Amino acid sequence: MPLELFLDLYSPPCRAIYIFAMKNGIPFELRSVELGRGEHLKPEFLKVNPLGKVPALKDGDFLLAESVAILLYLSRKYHAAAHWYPPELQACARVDEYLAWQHTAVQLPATNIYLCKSLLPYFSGQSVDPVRLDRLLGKLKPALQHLDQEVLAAKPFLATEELSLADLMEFTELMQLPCLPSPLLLAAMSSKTGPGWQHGKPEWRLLWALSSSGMPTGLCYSLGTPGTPSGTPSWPRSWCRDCWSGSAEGGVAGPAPLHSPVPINMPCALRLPLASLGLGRWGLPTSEQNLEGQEMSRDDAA
Amino acid sequence: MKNGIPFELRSVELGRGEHLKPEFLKVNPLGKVPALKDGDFLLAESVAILLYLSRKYHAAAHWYPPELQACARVDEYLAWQHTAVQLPATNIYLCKSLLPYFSEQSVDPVCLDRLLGKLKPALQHLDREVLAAKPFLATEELSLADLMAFTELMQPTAVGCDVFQDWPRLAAWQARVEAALGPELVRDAHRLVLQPRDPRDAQRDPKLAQELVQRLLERLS
Repeated sequence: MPLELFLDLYSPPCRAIYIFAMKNGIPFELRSVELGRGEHLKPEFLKVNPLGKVPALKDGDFLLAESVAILLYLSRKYHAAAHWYPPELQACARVDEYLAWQHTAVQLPATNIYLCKSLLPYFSGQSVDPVRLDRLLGKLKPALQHLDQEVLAAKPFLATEELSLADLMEFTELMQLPCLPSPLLLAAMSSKTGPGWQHGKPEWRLLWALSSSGMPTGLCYSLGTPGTPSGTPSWPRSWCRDCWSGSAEGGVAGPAPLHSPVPINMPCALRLPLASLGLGRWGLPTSEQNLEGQEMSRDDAA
Repeated sequence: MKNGIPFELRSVELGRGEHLKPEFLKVNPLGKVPALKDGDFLLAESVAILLYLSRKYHAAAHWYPPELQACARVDEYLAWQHTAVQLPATNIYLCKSLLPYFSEQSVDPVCLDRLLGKLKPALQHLDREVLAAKPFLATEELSLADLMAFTELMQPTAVGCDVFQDWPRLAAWQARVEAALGPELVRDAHRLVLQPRDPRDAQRDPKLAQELVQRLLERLS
């Protein structure tokens, strides 16, 4: 049985796992769990995670929840490069320190901002509550300040001198927020804050510029599928090779991709950071075929 | 203590605002305990510190097992507990004990009820699902997961909110963990939290009391 990852790519921790697995060439089947359709509350998913939360992992009979636990499991099982979770005692402790701190300091407030600005209005039909949003933004600010003024003043990455699981988690968390332009976030997304390794690189300046312009750049907005105009907040039904289908939700009928998962389409702005992570246009680490059976190469980035 | 790790205890009394003082902020600029100083190496976050100590001092394997899946189970609990257990349990303690202590107001029963409600799903999950399948929270043996949970759940319990009363498996687990850790060590560690605070102590520094009340109210809102 192949490794199964139950993810909703609207969710930052799910994206961290997705990126990690792709970047490390870990073979897996993506099981899409659409939170917006309540799929996390259905019996089939509750068998995988009784707490009804994504991400979740199924490796044969072994079930695992919690993004940090899943990232560590994948690092260890698939012998990911050492920089992700270093073997040295103190370097490792720094990554652990960030991964522990971020639950309440970053993830909780960042998620609440997203819920207030996007999901609640989406479901309730009401407009955004500005007072509440302001208060929630205020709860994230101390963390951003700490990272910008203390942590990144001393080193290029959040935990060590190299990219680690800490940066991956933070990155996907803050990527949620470019969809939600606001003065505080634009300040936070300025060239001083953000994943350190991208300082000064053209790709990142473009991404931040796109964010500031208010154009939807985050995964949750501009991911389209062939045949669906970009900018429609729709989601491909499933990217898993086995259950991928050309359904009315916007997928394209045709032969299943040779390798799974294959992101059906990638927004321009996301391709840029993916390129800098060594992933090509289709988010694949090596030469692969796209949906039309055309060979893509690693260099085929935006 | 349990692992015979030699250390010097640096007491940081939150109730006296010592975590906000410059000497401590040099150790942890975020002003939070616990914090560790090992030569020049400074470390915050209890989970990170526990893992560091386990590794550096080669603690017995059951605390953080080397086997891939067993280790993952401990990681899973340690990640989940931040928001599912630690946050609500601490808030209950703040509402029931620290806020009245500094504000000289009586406990707000509506607030307390709401906060107890936030802890309940975790207690139910641990009692009805996790502990139905095994004797400890992550594996078949005592691990860092049990240690964290034990001390977290003692917090509201110590100030009169018995979080175990509706959950028999959790109560049995608590007794099991206490026996495994050693009752004397548990008593020693919980000596302070089990003592009622003297309200007069809080008002020795009214300015500090006022500042802490503000922070607490904001946190509990």
